[in-house]
Amino acid sequence: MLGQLRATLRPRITNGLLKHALTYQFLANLGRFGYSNAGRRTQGIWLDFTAGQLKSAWQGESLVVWGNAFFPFELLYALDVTPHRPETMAALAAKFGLNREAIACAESDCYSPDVCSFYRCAVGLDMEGLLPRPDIIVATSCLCDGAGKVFHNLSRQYGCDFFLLDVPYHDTPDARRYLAGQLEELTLTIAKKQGKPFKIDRLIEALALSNEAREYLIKANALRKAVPCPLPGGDAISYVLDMQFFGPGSPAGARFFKTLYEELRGRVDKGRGAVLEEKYRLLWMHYIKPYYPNDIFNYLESKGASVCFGEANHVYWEPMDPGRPFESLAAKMLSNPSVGPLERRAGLALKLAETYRVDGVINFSHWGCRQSSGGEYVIRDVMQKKGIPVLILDGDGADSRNYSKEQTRLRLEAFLEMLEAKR
Amino acid sequence: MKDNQRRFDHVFRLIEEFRAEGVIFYTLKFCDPFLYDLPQLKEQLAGRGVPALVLEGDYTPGTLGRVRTRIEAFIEMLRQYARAA
Repeated sequence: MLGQLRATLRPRITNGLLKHALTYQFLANLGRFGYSNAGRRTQGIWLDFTAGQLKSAWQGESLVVWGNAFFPFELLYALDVTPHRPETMAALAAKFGLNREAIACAESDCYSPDVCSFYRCAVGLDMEGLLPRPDIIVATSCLCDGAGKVFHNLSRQYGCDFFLLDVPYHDTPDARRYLAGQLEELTLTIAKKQGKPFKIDRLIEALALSNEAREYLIKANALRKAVPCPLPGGDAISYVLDMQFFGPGSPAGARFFKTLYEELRGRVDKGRGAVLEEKYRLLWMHYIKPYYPNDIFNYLESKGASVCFGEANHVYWEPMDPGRPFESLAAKMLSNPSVGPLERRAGLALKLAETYRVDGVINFSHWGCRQSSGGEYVIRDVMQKKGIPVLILDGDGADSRNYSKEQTRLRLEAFLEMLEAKR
Repeated sequence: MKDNQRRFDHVFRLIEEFRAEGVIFYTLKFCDPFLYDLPQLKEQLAGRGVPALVLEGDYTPGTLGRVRTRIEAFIEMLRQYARAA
C-alpha cells in the first residue's frame, strides 16, 4: 500500500519540481557556491549555466528558442533570447532515471524504437510537460538526422516558427556564402519577432567570447596528452562536451573553458589523472556515450585504461573573424570533419590516435545514429592499416533498455586482453 | 525534407482519388525520413477517420507470418467499419 502510494506520488512530485523555476534557482546556486567550494569548479559553472537557462525558460523572461547541438548558439546569445537544449534534457533524463517513462511516452505516440533515443526521450519529456514552451525552434540539417524532423514535428504541435539551417555537404566558398546568408536571414527574422533591432556589436561580442573559449579548450586538450591523462573520459563526453556545444558565445562558456584549463593544469603538475597507473590509452569515437547509470568508464579505469581523448572534444574550427561574423559561423559549421565525405572523419580519427598516442580506439555505435554507424567499419579499416585496434561497441546513449552490463563488460574485457597481448 | 505537410497532403489526395478506406504505412527498418513522419501523419489520418496500419520490415521473409496476421486483423477492422457505416 505504502509502496503503491510512493510509486504514484514520486513521479508527480518530481515532475512538479522539474517545472518550477525555483528548482532551477536552487540548482544554479548549488552550482555557483556548492560545487565551487568543493573544488569542482567546472561542474559548478556548467550547473549554474544550465539551471540558469532553465529558470529563464520556465519564467519566460525572453523568447525561448529551442536549438540542437550543431546549431551555432553564439547567435542566440547575441540575440539575448533564452536558449533551450532538448538533447541535453534527454541526456539528463537518462542520468536521473526519467528516460524510460519519457521514451515509452514517445513510442506510444508512434515514434519508432529504431530512431535515435535522444529524440524519443526529448519528445517524451515534452509530452510529459517537462520542457518549457518554445517561441521558436531552430535546427541544422547536420549531423543528426532526427533533429530536423523531430524539431519540426514539435514546432507544429506548439504552432511556433521553425527554421532549418540547410548545411551543405561540401565545404566550399559557395557553401560558406550560402550558409552565412541563411544565418543572417535567421538572425534578422528572430530579431524582428523580438520587436527590436539586431545589434551587430552583440554578435561581435559573442564571437569574441566564443574565440576565448576555443583558445582555452585547445590548451585543455593539449594537456590531455599527459600521462596519466588529467581528465576522465566520461567527464569529457558529458558536461564538458555539453558546454562545448552550447556554451561558446556566452560569458559562462569562456569562464568554463578557462577554469577547465586551470583545473587540468593543476592536475598535470601534480601528476594526477583519472587512472593512476595508465596502462592503456584509448580514443573514443562518437559525440555521445551512455548517460544512464552504467559501468563502462569505471570498468575501463579499474583496469588501467584511460579514455584520454574523444573526437567530440577536438577543436576543428578556426578562430572567428568579428569583421565577418556570419561567414565565420558558417565556416565553423562547415569545417566539422563529420560533415561531408567520410574520409574527413577517418582522417581526423587517425590524426587524433597519433597525437594522443593511443593504444586502441573505442567506436561507440549508438543505436539509431545513422551518420556515425554508417562509417564505423571504414574507420576501423583505416585504423587497422596503421596497426591500431578498434572495438565497435554497440550501445545506446539514452535508452537503457539497449544496455547489457555483462555483455558490454565482456566485450571491453576481450578488447583490453587483445591490447595486452599486442604489447 | 522540411515541410512534411506537403507529403501528408499528397497522401490525402491519393486517398480521395482512389477512394481508399484505409492506409498501410510500410516503412523500411531504420528509414528515418519516413519513421519520423509517422506520429504526425497517423494523427492527421485519425482526425479524418481513416484507419491506418504501420508495418515495419527489412525486405526479408522472416516477418511474413506476423505481417500476414496483422494485415488480416486490419482488413477485419475495415470490414467492421464498413458494416457500421
